[in-house]
Amino acid sequence: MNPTPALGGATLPDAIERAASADPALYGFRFLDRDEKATWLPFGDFAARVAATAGALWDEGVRAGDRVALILPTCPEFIEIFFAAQWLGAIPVALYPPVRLGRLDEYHERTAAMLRAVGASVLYTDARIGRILGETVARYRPRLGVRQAAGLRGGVPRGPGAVSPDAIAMVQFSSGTTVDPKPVALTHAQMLANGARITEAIFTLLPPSQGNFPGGVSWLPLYHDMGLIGCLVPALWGPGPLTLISPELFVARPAIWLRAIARYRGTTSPAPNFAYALCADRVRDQDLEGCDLSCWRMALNGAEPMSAATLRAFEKRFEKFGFRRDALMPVYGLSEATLAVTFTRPGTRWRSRRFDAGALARGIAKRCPGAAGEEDDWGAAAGRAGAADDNNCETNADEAAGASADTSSEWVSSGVPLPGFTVEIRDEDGNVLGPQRVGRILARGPSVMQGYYGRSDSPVRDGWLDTGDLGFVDEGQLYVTGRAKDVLVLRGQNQAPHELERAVDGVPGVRVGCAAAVADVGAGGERLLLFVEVRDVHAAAGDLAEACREAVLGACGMAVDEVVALPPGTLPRTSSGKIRRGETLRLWKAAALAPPDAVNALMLGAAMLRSQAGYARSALGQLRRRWRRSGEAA
Amino acid sequence: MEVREVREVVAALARDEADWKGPLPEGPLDRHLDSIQRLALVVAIEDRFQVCFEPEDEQRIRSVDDLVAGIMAKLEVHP
Repeated sequence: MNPTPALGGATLPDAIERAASADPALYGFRFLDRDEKATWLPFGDFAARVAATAGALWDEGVRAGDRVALILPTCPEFIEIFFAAQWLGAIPVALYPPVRLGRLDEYHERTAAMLRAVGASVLYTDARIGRILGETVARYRPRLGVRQAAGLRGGVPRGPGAVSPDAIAMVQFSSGTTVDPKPVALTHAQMLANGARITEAIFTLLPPSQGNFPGGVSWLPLYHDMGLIGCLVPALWGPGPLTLISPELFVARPAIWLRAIARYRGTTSPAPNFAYALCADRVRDQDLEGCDLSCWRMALNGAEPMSAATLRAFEKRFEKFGFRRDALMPVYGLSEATLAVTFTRPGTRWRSRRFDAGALARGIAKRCPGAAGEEDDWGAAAGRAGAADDNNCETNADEAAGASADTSSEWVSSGVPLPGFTVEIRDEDGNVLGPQRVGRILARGPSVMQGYYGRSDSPVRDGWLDTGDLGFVDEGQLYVTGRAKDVLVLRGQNQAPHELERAVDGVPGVRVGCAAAVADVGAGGERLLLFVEVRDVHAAAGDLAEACREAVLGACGMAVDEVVALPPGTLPRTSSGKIRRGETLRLWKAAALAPPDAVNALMLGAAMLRSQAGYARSALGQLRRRWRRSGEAA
Repeated sequence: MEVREVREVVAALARDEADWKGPLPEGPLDRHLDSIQRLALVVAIEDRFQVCFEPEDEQRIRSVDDLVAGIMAKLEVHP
């Protein structure tokens, strides 16, 4: 069990009550609608609504320990029900609404599997979504049924129940797949420990005692850990105002996010890498007329692999609107650790380095000598820490961009462990590896989960969480290079590779059961590669690739970046015949992915001769050794 | 508005808002556009035509033809 952090035994209801006393004109949630019209909800009013909603939930039969599922868009009801459930000692479980224009079959299956995995007692949703949840409910019917979220705040207010800091506060779903969702159980202490670390990082850069007024802006889904724990909890714990935008609006009109930051003087706003790319690509100057982004001090970038090219493009694109070069903050975390594990130091420029791609494929992070000034720079950095080291980063991020050695690849650092967290790199046998050695990333800290809800399997041993990711440490900074586990995470989607591989089984020309889907993390971000063995590699490769792409997109909703057609027998397999996906990628990157040698009678004969010659050499060696021993004895 | 005009607007929105390159795709939308592209497209359509698709409407929409028919139906109710 992980130690309870020194938060005075606080729970989420305590945090709400604390935030409720803050100035209602300054502290609260702000919801932006489609027309960018704001609805302000001061924390005091929010706390009153939570108490009233808790009363309504109680009247509907919700009790401590019940799992309360929510399928709602970003709206006041979401946060009111979420925290009201905690208020009663129940366990909220936020699930995502259906994707628009998407096929619902998979959605129903996945949602029912998640409801079943936690044994949800009740499901709260709105009228709009509720109308299409019939098939989900047919597969899993919560004990208290499906209920409307509207109107609950009219309940009779109820005081918070006796909630222990070590009680489960919420369940969030992690890297599991459609057929095997993994519910991460988090306690109040763990949620607050992580939220408090994030708050500390904000206050370190922007101490309120010096007249700063940190505030957040988020378009992240509230059913995602970065939106829920990364934004809501620090807002209450700080406290600080938080402006919320629906993810749907952001995707359709990304400029809304940046305008909100400028308009409400947001200091902190996180997003995954693709959001920064989308803004750099889609936001036009006229969309940001009169906007000043200099207030944005912490532009956290996490939840998916980062691309140095994207970070540079974003900086360059929005520099003219005052975006600061020390604002972008690559971070690393995962649901099983509640959220954050490492942060780029606030107020320092993000760091990237070039490493030899071949050595990296062999598990060694060898700095690339091609980068201008690299050795001097690193020599100067060694043995230094704090501000001096951080200032050093600025030069390096730009220098790394200029390097063009073919054999090098650029990697963005995810920063250093948050206070109270430790990160180790270990090999497959659990041995701790030194710096610049690639291995599995393990993390330990006050917010690492105790286990999955209702499951005996757990990636946590002796307090150490095996993240399932691969990476290395260089100069104390963590670099994440890929995944050890077989789950693909791309543009916010988790997918088991075999589901993609199965999708191409029916594509003409593809050998059934002979495909490998892998994610390749590189300078351009994460790419989805599909290796397929085909009957004839010379036959219309373009058509085959397009057919594979369509099949995967249709079956799984994921866009394949590259289809690699291979001759039969090329994919490396285990002794039991399973495809070795990691090895496939490693060999391909090393240009060593090749089919087995064709065998004919002549080659077989030659092989037998070589084999017999080997035996003969071995026998001759034994005779010589015996002869020497007998001579020595004589 | 004629079907042809609606189709042209949808094509322009797919290109400008959903990063779709080339002519409008034939067949099921989710075989061509990923979830983010579909989301961007449907919100752009709602903004442009001032209509609102309900989840039940979207369940019936599989292809561009369905999408255009859906827009036409909405426009007939609220021209």
